[in-house]
Formats: sequence, structure tokens, C-alpha cells
Amino acid sequence: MSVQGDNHAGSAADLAGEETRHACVLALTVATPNALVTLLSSLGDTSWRVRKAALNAVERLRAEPTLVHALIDGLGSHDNAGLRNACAEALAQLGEIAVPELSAVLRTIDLDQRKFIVEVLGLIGTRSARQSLLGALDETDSNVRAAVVDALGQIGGPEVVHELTARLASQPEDLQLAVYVLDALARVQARLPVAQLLGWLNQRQLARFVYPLLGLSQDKAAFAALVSGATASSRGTRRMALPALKRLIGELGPVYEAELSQLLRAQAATREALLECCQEDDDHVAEAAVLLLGILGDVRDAAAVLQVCASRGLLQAGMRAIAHMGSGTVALLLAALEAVDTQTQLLFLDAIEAVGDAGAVPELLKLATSGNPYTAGAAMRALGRLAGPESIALLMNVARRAEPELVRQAVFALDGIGVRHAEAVAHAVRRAIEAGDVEPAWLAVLGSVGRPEDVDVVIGACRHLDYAVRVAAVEAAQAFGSRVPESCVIASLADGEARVRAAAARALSAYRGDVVLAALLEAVHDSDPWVVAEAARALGAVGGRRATQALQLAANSSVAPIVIAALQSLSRLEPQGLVATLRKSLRHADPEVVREALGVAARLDAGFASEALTEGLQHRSWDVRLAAASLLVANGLRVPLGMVEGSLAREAEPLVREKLERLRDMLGAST
Amino acid sequence: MTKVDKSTLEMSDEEFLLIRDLIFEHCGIFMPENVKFLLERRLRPRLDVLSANTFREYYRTVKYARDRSHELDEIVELVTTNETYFFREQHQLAAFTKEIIPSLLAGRSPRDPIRIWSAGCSSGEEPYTLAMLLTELPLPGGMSFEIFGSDISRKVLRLARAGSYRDSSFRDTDPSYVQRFFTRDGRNFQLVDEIRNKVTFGLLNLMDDAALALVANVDVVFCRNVMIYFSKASRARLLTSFYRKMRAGGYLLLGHAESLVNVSTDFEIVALKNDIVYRKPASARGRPYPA
Repeated sequence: MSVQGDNHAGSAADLAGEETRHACVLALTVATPNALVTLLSSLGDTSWRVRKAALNAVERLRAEPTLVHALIDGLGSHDNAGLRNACAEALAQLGEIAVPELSAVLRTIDLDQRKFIVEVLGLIGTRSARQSLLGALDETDSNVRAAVVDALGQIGGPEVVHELTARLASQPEDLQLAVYVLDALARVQARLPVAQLLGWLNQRQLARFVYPLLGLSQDKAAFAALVSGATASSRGTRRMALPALKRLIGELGPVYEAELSQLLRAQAATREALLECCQEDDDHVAEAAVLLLGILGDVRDAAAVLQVCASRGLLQAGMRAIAHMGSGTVALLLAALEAVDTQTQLLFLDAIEAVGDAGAVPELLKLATSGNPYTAGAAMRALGRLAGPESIALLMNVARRAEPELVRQAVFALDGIGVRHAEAVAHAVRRAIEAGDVEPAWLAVLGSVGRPEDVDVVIGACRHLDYAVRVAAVEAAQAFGSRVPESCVIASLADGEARVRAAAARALSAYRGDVVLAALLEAVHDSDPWVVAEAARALGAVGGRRATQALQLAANSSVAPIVIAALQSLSRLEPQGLVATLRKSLRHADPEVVREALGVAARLDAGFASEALTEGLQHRSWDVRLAAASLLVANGLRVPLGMVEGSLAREAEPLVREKLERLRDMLGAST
Repeated sequence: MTKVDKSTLEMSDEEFLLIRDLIFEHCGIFMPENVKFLLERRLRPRLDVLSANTFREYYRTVKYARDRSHELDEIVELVTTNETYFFREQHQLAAFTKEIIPSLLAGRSPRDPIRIWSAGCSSGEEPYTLAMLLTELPLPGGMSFEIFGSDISRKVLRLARAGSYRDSSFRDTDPSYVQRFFTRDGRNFQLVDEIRNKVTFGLLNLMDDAALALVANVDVVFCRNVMIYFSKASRARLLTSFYRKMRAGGYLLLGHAESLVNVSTDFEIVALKNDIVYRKPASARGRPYPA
């Protein structure tokens, strides 16, 4: 059969409109007469809708014995690029079943088609596809050989690294091959000896491909060459060397940063070159320049570096750079604060919070009471880390009078100060409460500071008229643990406000005994699902036969938070019948429940765990599939390799793909 | 009971994606991956507020909360600070005063005020700019205008209502406007009440159809540099809302980097002398709303 150069030849849908052709493809099955002819013509259709439907139809025609052959034939179309691309995509979609036939024709088919077949094998990426491509490395046509190297660079694996490295050593004079091999090696994250890489660095045509490999070398011997590249006068060289240097620093860790700093200082005009690189369009280059400016450590650059980072969203890089530069930056950042926009001010304040000291406190106190809620919040965050008792009164004032989100920031700041000056903070708050100034925020602070002498204040507040105070008091009681009498917390389970009851149920997880158990068994029948969920969680801590029975009932709930809490508790107690409970939960409509159930299943016997996790790999929610793959890897559980490869071929979510690849490698390594 | 120290708690990529999806579903804002660090840093204190020990627990608490929109608003507040400035995109403002307003005034009854909506007004510079421009415009006797600024952030609306601005808000402002409409207040510039009183502000999630019911019969929608944070589907949904809220013949003004290509065909393109803008077709009167 041939379809080359003829979009619709032989198709019944030839003369019909797009709608008819689309409908025709949608109806395609193995039983359709001339199914493959229609499929091929549809894959080369002028309408993308028809082509897309045809790609979907490929799945339905898997059983057709000549399907692969027909698609390979389609790759030879000289005048219909759409058909060629669709056939390549369809073959890649078929995956492993297409490999034997693709491998068989690899050496015989004409050169143009051969390149496509190589690309398809690269996309399929299974072990047999890799073997087939490794066998084609001796291809005589240089373009096809380059395509083979490129495709291997997509697949990776130790064997690929070994073969490509050997090829590079045995054919050093072939520059075109060297370029492709170096690029492929960088893509598969190969680690090559620095001495070998430095040899290639001297060849101008290869230099830009060598820098990424130097970055992957995990060898500090690569520093000098990379620093030289990162500060070179050529922008192009800097753009290649900087991200590589960043990578190397990341892999070696901070131990070598002093050495790197010396190397950077030894180069002429390093600072200027790096500041210029901060303006590069490529975020990777700018981010690397920011990191190196940090390591260089010139505090004069702090404000400029953070402005670049704020405008480009490189917040983490900016914070790391300031952490390198140290507390000498604080005064300069505070001085420059007024001149920058709010977004940048926030980053300045984040940085001050990270590296600042008590010297910044007076200025931060001013900002905390400024009219701008953004800077006020950020200043209070910094105060929480840097301020001492002198700031308590002002922060308490903010907590009394400000808008709700600033009240919370003020409470967090008081908490933070309380970590260093517990006595002073607790004393100030307690004095306010005793004077009749009872704010929920004060209870939160007392709970956070946790002085035994404040227990009586917390107990009293559990009966306060304001429900917000009662919630805060019961939450504070939780922080005090069993130092608050259980009767006080149990009494709160009868509160009219569900949030108080939920807090009480949560707090009871710190207690044991029949009275607590009875209270919690009653609470799992509360009308509010959050109270039930908290009670179920606390029952897991209390334990016992009656708790287990209640939890098994709760696990049958249709309300996700209740089931999740029940499963968490049951996994602590590991009662008989847990597997049956889990089987139900694994079929729950809510993916969060399924995910939790998988986590519990993974801790049970390997047979059940493998079964549950294998099923999890097929779940509709990416998050569940990710959990299943992660748990299989983490627990070293065995599942059929072919099944994992099949999942990998279908998977679109990068995070899940990454885990599946690890799982595939793990299973492959052990076979 | 020992309190779990969350000061160094990390947010996994998975947790980030889950929280990002919740925010997206809530308000159409799509958070790029470089926001993860900021989100992780800013959300850590929220974990204590919601009694969560991990970001996963936090995600679940938000997901299943009865009033989850409250917490999601908080998250949006924590990670968005979209500042703007007065007289941004001068050519568009010239089109507004010299071409759009005159065309809207033609044959209009003085009892029918011109309604302008600044959607995503941030700290208020845009609607106040429009108020200043319209104050200077010689409007026919008795003709008035209403300007409504909306944003999803309470914090920026508080700044907008206060009408107090710093130097950075005036990077493209003719000094004569500062002199006429602002008074110096320490480091800040305070907008005069004459302009402040001409703008009303409201908290509005542009993806919340129920809240949008309060807006109607708008003549000009300014929605500049807002849709860049939205996915294509959210943009399409937002444009449908604008279409419904606008009068036939009303104008839609977007940021210079934004267009309706591949998003909506409901609006027609109008090439004015000073700018290219979008307009709800005059023939749209009585036409059923697009799906």
C-alpha cells in the first residue's frame, strides 16, 4: 500500500467536507473496511481536527497487523509534511510494539525515511529502541548518524554515555559528530573527566558544548575554566559558562565557595561582567550572575541585585546572594528602600529579615506602622526574627488595632520575639489580659510561648463570651498539652461554636484514658465534619478496640476529610481488617482519599502494597499517579517493567514522568 | 505538646502545583513556577493559623474548608503586589480623552452618566488618572461620569482608598498634574478629595459571576496588564463577562502587550488615531450573550 504524495487517495471520505472526514475517522475501528487507508489519508489531512482524530484512532487500530508497516510507509511522503509528522507521532504513540519493525527497516530504507525512523525510536525511548539506535551509531551517512546521536541523547542511560564517550575518543577529527555527541552527553547529564573536557574546550567550535559538561563534572578542577568563561569579554561565552558554573556550585555545595570567590576576584572586571549578565534575557544566565555576585560578596551590589531579582521573579537567587553578602547589606538596603517599588521593597525586607540584626529594628518599627499594608507586614515578619522586648508594646498595639491580616503578622512577630524573650512577651500579654484586654491574639501568643504559669489564664479564657477568644484559648490549650485539665477541654466539646469543638477534639489527642475516649467517641457523631475529622485523628492517638471500631466506621464516610483522618489514625493502630477498609478507600471518588489510602497501603505487606500502587499508577488524577510511583520507588517494590514503560508512554505530567523514569531505572537495574 | 518548627519547612513541587491549581480555580490567576519560593516563604505562617503541620495538610484544609475563598484570597494577597503608576500608556489615554469620550458623548442624554470600570485597578492609579483627565475635559452641561475601580486584593484597595502615593507612582506623570491634584504629605503625595471622591472602589474577583452581577451598563472597561496573569480559558471567561457588562458600542482597553487574538471574537477592533482598541459591536444590542 502506498499513500505517498496523495492526501486522501483511496479514502471514501475524499470528496466530503471536513465534518464528514472527521466523523469518518471517529468511526474508525479494526472492523472498518480499508481502515488503514482511511487512517493514513486522515493522518495527512489538511484539517488539524481530522489529523488529531486520526492520531486517536491509531490506538483503536493497534490490533491491525500491518498498522506499523503502513505508518512507516507514511514516513516516506515527500510532499506532505503533515502526514510525515503525524505518522511519526503515531509510531511514537504505539511505542514498544513498533520497535521491531522500525529496527528492521533502519538499515534498508532510504535516507530521508531513515532519519525519521531514528527520531521515532528516540521518542519511543524503550530499552529495545535504545539498543537499536546504539547499533546504528556506525551509520555511514553523517546526517543520519547525527540524528542517531541526537535520539540517544533523548533516551540516556549508562550504556548511551559509555558508547557516546567512546565514539568521541575514537573519532576526534569528526567535528560534526563531536558537536552532536557533546550536546547529547550534556542532555543525558553525563559526567566526564575535566581533563578530557578541557582538551575539547580549546577547540573554538566545540567550546560552547563543553561548558555544560564542565558544569556537570562535579569536580572543582572545572572552576577555573568556568570562571574564565563566565567573565569572558564574549557575551556568548558568558551565556554558556554562567549556568554551567551555577550548576557546578549547586552540586559541589558551599564548601568550595571561598575558593570560587578567590578565583572570581582574581579575574579582571568580574563585577562589571556579572552586573551586565544580570540584564541578560535568559533567566538562567541572570540567575547565575546573581549567585556569583553574591559569592563575590561586594555589599555595594546588594540593592541592584535585589532589584533585578524582584523584577524578574528570581527571588530565591536574590535571597541567596544577600545571604552570601551578609549583614553588611542591611544599612544599604534600608537606605535604598524608599526609592524602589513595593514589590522590590518586600524583597529587601525579606533579605533584611534573613541577614539583619537588632540595628535594623528602629527602621522596621517605623515601617510596621506605615500606611502600606505590604511593607508593614514584611517589616513585622522581620521584627519577629530581629526585635527584642522593646518592640513588644508597639506590636501589641498593632495587634489590637490593625486590619486582620496585620494583626496576624503582629502575633507572629510576638511569637518570634517570644522564642528569644519568652518571659517578657508572656508577661506583657498576661498583664494585658489581667487588665481586661482579652484578645484572641494574646491567647495565641501565650500558647506559643508555653509558660506553665499561664495555664490558668488559658483555662479561664476557654469560657470567655467571645467565641474567637474561646477558639484561641482551646488552641493554646493544645499547645500546653495535658497540663490543661482534660475536663476543661472536654467541656469545650459541647461548645455551640463548631470551631471551638474542633479545636477541643484536636487538643484531646494529647490525653489518654476512658473519659477522653468516651468524649471522642461522642464527638465522632458531631454534626460538623471538621469536628468529626479532628475527633477521628485524636482517636488514633488514644487507640483501643472501641476507637478502632469507630474509626473503621468513619473510614466509610463520603466526606473526604473524615476518611483521611480515619485512615491516618487506622494506619497508626494497624487493626485487623485494615486491608478491606483500604480497598474501599482506594475506590473513593476524591483523589485525596485515594492518595492517603495508597500511603497507608504502602506500609502494609508487599503483595497488597504492589497491587494497590500498580492500580494507583492508572488513576485519573496525576497527583495519585505521582504518589503511587513515588511510593513504589521509596519502598523498592517490584511491578512489571513493561507496565511502567506503558504508563510512561502515556504520562503527560512532568512530575509523574520523572518518578516513573526513576521507577523504570530502578526496575531495569535490578533485572 | 511540642510545637512543630516550620521555619525551614519546604513546599514540594507537588504541593505547589496543587495549591496553584486551587488558586487558579478560585480567581483565574496562574502562578508561574518561580512563585513557589515566595509562596513557600509567605505561607509558612499560615500553617500555624490553620493548625497544619505540612503544606499538604494546609492544602487539604483549604480544599475542604467551608469558606475556602477566604483563605484563597489570603494567598493571593500574600503573593501578588501589582503596582502601577499614574498616566500609564499615554497614547491609550489620549485615545480615551480625544476619541472615545467624544464618541460616547454624541447624542447622549445628560441624565445618562458615562460609566467606566477599571478592572484590576491595583492601588488606584489608573482610575484616578481617568478621573483627573475627565475633570479637565470640557464635558457638555450636566454630563457626568462614574468610575469604578475593582481588585481582588483588599490590601491594594486600602491603598487606593487612602489616595496616598510615593514617588514611584509618578514615573510618567506631568508635574502639572502633581501640582494641581496632590498635596505633599511627608514622603508621600496625597490625592485631593476632589478626585478621590470621583472614584468608588470595590473588592471583586473577576472569576466570581455572583459578585460581577453588581456591575452593569459599562461604557468603557480598562483591563490593562491583568489578563497576562490569566490562562487562556480564564481570559475567555473574563471577556465574556466584560461583554455582558458592557453597553453595545462600549470600549475595551487592554495593556499594550495584550490582545484578544485566539481568545475572543466578540469584540471588534477599532483603529483610532491614537491607539487600536476593542469595541462591543453597536449591533450587539439585544443579541444573545455568547456561550
